[in-house]
Amino acid sequence: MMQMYFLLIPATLLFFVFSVQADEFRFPMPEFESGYHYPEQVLPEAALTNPWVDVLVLALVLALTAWIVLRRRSRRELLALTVFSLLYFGIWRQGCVCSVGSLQNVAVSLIDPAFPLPWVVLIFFLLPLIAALFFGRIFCAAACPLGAVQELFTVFPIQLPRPLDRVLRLFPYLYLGLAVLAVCLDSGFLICIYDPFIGLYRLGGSFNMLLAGGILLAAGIFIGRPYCRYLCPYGVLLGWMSSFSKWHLRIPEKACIQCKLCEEACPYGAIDFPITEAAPLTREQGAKRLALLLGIAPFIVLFCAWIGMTSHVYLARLHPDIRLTERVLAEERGEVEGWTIESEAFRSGKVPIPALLESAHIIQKRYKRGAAWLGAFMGVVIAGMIARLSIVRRRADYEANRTYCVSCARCFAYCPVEEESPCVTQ
Amino acid sequence: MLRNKSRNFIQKPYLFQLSALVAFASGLFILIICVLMIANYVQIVAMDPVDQPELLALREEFARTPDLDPVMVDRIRALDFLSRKAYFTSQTQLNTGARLLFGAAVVFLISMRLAARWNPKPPGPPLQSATKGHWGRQALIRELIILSAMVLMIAAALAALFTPLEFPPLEQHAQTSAVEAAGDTDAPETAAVTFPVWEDLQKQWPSFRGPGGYGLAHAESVPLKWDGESGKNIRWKTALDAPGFNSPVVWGDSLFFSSADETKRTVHCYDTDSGELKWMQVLPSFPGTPETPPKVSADTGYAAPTMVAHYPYVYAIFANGDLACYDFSGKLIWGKNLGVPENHYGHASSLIAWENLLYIQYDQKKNPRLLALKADTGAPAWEVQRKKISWASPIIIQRTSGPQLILASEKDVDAYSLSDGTLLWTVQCLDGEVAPSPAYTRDRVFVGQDYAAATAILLHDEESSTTAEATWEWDDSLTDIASPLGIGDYFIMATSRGEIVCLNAETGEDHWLEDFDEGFHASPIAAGELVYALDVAGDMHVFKGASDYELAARNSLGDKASATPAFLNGRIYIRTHGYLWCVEEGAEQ
Repeated sequence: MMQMYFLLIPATLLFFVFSVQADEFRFPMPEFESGYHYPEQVLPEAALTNPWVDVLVLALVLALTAWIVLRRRSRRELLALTVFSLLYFGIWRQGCVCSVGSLQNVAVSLIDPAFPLPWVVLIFFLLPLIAALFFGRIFCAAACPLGAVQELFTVFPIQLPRPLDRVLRLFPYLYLGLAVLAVCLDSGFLICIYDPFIGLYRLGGSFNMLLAGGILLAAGIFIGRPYCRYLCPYGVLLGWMSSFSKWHLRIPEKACIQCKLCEEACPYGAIDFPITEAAPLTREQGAKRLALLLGIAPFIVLFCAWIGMTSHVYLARLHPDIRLTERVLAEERGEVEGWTIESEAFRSGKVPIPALLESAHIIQKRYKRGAAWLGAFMGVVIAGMIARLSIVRRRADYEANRTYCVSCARCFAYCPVEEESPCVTQ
Repeated sequence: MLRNKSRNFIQKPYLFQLSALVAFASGLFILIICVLMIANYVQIVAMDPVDQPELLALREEFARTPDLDPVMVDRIRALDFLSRKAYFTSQTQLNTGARLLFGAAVVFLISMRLAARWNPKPPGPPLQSATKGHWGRQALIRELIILSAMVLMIAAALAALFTPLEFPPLEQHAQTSAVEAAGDTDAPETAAVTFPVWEDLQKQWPSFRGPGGYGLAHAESVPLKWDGESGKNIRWKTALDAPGFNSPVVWGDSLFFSSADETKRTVHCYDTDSGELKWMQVLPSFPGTPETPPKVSADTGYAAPTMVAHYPYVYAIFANGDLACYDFSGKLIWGKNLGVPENHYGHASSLIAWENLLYIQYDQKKNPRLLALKADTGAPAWEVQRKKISWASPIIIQRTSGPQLILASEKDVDAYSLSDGTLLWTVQCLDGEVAPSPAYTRDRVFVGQDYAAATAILLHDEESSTTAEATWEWDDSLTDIASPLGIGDYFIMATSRGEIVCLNAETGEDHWLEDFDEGFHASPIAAGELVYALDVAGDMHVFKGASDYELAARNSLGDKASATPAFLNGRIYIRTHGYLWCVEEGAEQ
């Protein structure tokens, strides 16, 4: 079995080589003097799928997932649905439209009412969130093409230490903040640009992103769903909604016998343990500590906002005009050789360098304010996480964490209380 | 309700081994294909089917052949076809490999999942809940989150600290914004600019060593004798406090030179009739202008390159890479920083202009380039990569095949097309740190450099091209600062050791060699039959450019001199370290 672990390397390399196919090599066509005429280029007709079909499929998949997870409690059926979603939303629809990326459209439309927000995109954004509000993260379970491919690659999962897992879950918030900042400041749709799996679905893409996708999938063989857990910005929103879910899955449908088997079964660190120990602090002490935390929370937020503001020069590089300005100035100073496509296009236009520079200054100014907001957001997240960890709770049984559980149904087979569980039948 | 619980943790060793074997085999297959494809990919990236050296050589040969050679045409076609075929074959292999890989990856994934299914891990003892108590774990998570937040903040702060603000402040740039905005080619003000042509240049002293930059004064009645102390034949003399070794250039009644120190870069304009200062402009900072000046040697300084006057504008470049264009009234038209040149002595190459382009020999250690900028806006017209550092200045010569821009640097003498920078010919004959600029007379370009042999390059003009070959070498007394001079059948070299040597341009025979008390930094200039060589003490040695040394005059100014004089309209303008002089026959100060 161990020898198979080493096959992780080819899996990573696989995606490297996919990039080979992605790159386009073009050079001038030969100049014929024999009267040969090049055939006219014919573009294939656009084969558009009615977007409402996508909405219908998404709704059906979500409904089916809820039914399978909550009523059928079948991992096998859920896997079949996962494969379907991978084929439909991933391979067939090539990852677009996608709920994860749709949050950017919604964010920019909130900032700029003139930005067109198609109904389909809005529904793709809202439907999984509404579903999460009722049934938990069933979108992650089987409907999301990004989650689907990772779920299939989670073959030999190991559990990360719980503290490490929780700390890494800070990063989706940062990514969410950056993505919203970028779209609000016209710097592009980061989530789409840096989608690590889109290259797989489209059999093409930039080298770096294909490599990133390959590495994530290779790592995902052992560390379940690394993108979903530690990067996905939409997962943050789904987690928030799922926290209030009305009918979230329960590991044992009936009484938990605290056999602890589900804890080992979950590769995503989404099982909350029963809290049986007495709290180290009295109720009064706990309340005081919480009050202290809430008291310093504004200062944490302000400090983070200040840190964010100081890093605006760096963050502003997300904007293509800033990168262009840096490039053009470097070319002017002779620090770099030749021109890039972008700088050549700029130079062939009529915009003078000072105008570009002025535009760059305006963008940097906007980023100063935006980066401060990003820092403040991260401050709220950090303060909130610390406060949440400081609240004394009671839990009698093993439970699926409503924020982090992706309803993958892996734990069902391990639960001896489960009807017809192999643990019982054996 | 019936629930399907198929997973029963029963191990099936044979099926597991079979699927593991398939997974291993498919993984190995993927690995091999990956290696082959990566090799293929590297090959494709390196491949440039249309610019293969053999193909380019054949094309060049074809272009030089006056008559259509069908054999050569067939050879070019065959080679072109072959290289394209090889390229597309590699690409097809790549695509096939990618499909194979995709299939193998699917097999790999399925077999891995089956292997995991047929060798299931039965439920075991819990891992994490047993290791630490809930509250201890919560406290650890809290501490780690605080630690991670701090690390994130420190990383953000460090990133901010070490991310330089690449853009110069707007207010600093404001002075140039308006004029650079005029860089728009549609702007009526710049669209109306008409630049001089060769015939106009010959009537002025527009650049280092005069029109074309090879030291030939198109002047009549040049003063022969003068004396700085008595004021004989000195029209005017103006005291200077302007550090810089560059030479004066003259256009009409305006004389220009530049000066600079560590903090300030200045362009000066003087009236040629009275010697009075017309205007003086200190350069503003441009985007990229460094706050601290580059290190330069005392012999070079911050303003070694000579300006170029190209009516209606005049251009100056400095050691920190600042390049500025002023009009004749002193108004800044445009300016930019070309990047601080990596030059251990300091940038010294002078500017030259031709029609609507300004040329900069920006030979430096890193990224040496020949730049052609649009003279009216400063916008890049074209750029050619160079190979080595140098301190020499470009010259422009007229050939029947068209004008050529000649540059010297370590190893090579190169000729470029003025319009697009195409390399016309190159001769490898130099070595070391090249400061003297090329000389030119008749059909020969001449380069000399201390510690290397001086070489004469014979040019052969054809209908639309020029070929060049080194004809002779001479390696005795050679110059290291002053540029050689071509006059008629002779090449003259003045060295910083105080020697002047006269060589036969055709044969390389040394006709004479004279020793002087002082060395020469200024380049000798030919006016009619006479050669004017200014030594570092400020004494001008005037002698005939002939096979026998014949001193015509020796004139003293009594002030040290490094700059090459300007000759125009019967006057000689000399910049010594402390004064600017105008010498004119019959004038008395």
